[in-house]
Amino acid sequence: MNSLLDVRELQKVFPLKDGSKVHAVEHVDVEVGHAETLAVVGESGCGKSTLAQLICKLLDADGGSIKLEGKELTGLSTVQMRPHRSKMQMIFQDPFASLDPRRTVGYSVAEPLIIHGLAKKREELRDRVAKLFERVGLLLSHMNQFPHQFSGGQRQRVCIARALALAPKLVIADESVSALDVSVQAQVINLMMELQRDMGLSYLFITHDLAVVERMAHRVAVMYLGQIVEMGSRAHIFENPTHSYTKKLLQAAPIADPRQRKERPLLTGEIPSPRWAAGQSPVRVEHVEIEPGHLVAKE
Amino acid sequence: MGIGSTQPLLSIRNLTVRFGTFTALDNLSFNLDSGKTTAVVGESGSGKSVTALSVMGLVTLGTRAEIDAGEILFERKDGSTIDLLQCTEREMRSIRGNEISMIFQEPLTSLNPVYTTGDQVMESIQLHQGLTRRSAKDKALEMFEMVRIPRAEKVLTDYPHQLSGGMRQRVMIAMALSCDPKLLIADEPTTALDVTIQAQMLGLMKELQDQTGASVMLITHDMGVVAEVADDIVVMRRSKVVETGNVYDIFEKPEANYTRALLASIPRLGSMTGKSEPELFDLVLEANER
Repeated sequence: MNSLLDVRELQKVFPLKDGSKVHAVEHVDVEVGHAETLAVVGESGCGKSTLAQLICKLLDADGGSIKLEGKELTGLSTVQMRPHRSKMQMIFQDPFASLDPRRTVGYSVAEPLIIHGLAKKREELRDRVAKLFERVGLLLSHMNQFPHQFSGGQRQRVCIARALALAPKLVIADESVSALDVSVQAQVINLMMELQRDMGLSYLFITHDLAVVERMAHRVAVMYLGQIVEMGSRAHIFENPTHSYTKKLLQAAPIADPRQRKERPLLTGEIPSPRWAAGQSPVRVEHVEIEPGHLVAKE
Repeated sequence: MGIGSTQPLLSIRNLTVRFGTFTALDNLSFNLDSGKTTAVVGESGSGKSVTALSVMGLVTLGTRAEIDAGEILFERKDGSTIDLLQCTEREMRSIRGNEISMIFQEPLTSLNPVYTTGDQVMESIQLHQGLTRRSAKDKALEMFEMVRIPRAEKVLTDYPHQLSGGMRQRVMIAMALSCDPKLLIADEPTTALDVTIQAQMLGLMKELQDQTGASVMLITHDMGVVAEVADDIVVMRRSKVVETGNVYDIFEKPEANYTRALLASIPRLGSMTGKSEPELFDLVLEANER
């Protein structure tokens, strides 16, 4: 297997006080190749953020395996995990909440280098941070400023610089552009794609925004109630959606072109809950490969 | 917009609003036509929400905002025209929720957590229509059924926290439409909702508009939503109106550089068909704005 990230049978169940359980992630298999973007799409509660947190070990999985460059990550202690952390970094949705308000943004970007002991001297550290700032389109004069002095887009650039500090192979981006204004969003997406092209980065891109996915993903996984119901190349998912839920999602997504208005049926359905009463558990879906690389859950 | 012989339902003229030294709205003018959906679009801080709050007469409430100049002419249910900026608070209260109502982005924070949804919808009906509690309840039930809340009778006795985001927004819409307003202001009404629920809401709002003939001022940053439902567009940037026009004209031949830059940065579902690799946005226009 030649993929960068290889996740098999990943599972996470959150027990609730009343004995019921939330099956957030159920037997999920995903792979991310080198310099590839895999987008994971789905609606609230489908388990996409839990999946991201399991992969970067912010949460411990209840079952399954996570291999990064062939090394098993499940079961590793915090200390054992440290050398692997540098290969895998995260960017979150809210750049306001993910930077320390009392530290300069320069320090926030330098911190991973300090923790991992990657820059021995002060000047070396400063040079590396300066290069990162330049790389993400920030000015060197920004280094001594504090998060509140920046706009949302600039802050997200700082978060990207910090994620890049350790020269990771994989960046897990959880709704990283969702909170940004569209023109800023487009700039940040362009930056992420340029970084991929120049540095060979891979992205696990978690989002609910299908139009963004169509723009930047190589492959797409559609999640529903903790399971993957369809996975394939961008063309498979957008040009030949096959699972009923994928079709429903695409039908619901607005198209930014008034000539393509859709007649909207007046539906009232709700997104079902991944919560199961005590003693019950979801039925595991079976996938069929309908064309090479295009998996669809049996309905 | 505003072209034609009929008088607009709402006409904002030369409105300037300041917060201290910051000008939140700078000589803003546009019209809203009767029975149409007008989308007010723009990015964070462009003044969209201040515009909505000004129309509702809420902008100076508990803030440092001052209305420096301008008028907001509104055609009332009785056919008379009134300048909303000159209204007394008493007059404003008879208009708010009755002739102009508003729905917000986050339905959970706009509903009172300690009252049932039914009580909250009935409150506005009793206040503005002078109905008894019993007939207000019938009306509330009718509204819940109109916005297609399943098991409406049960939901009347539910508290907001017991409902999903989509259901809460349906309750908000029911409340907003309960007095048959002429103008509904919807400030990012679907932004907090999942895409399938958003689609339901947009369909519902469109149908209710056809039924009631209400005008909608849709405040949003989402050009996908605009393309789906708007008749007219007002593009705002940095406290000013940049461009106004019919939805088809704005999307097909935008005149202002800013509108062009904005449209260039929107991912359009389906635009990547047949392309094998991801593609950068073409942001040239914004880089060298003419």
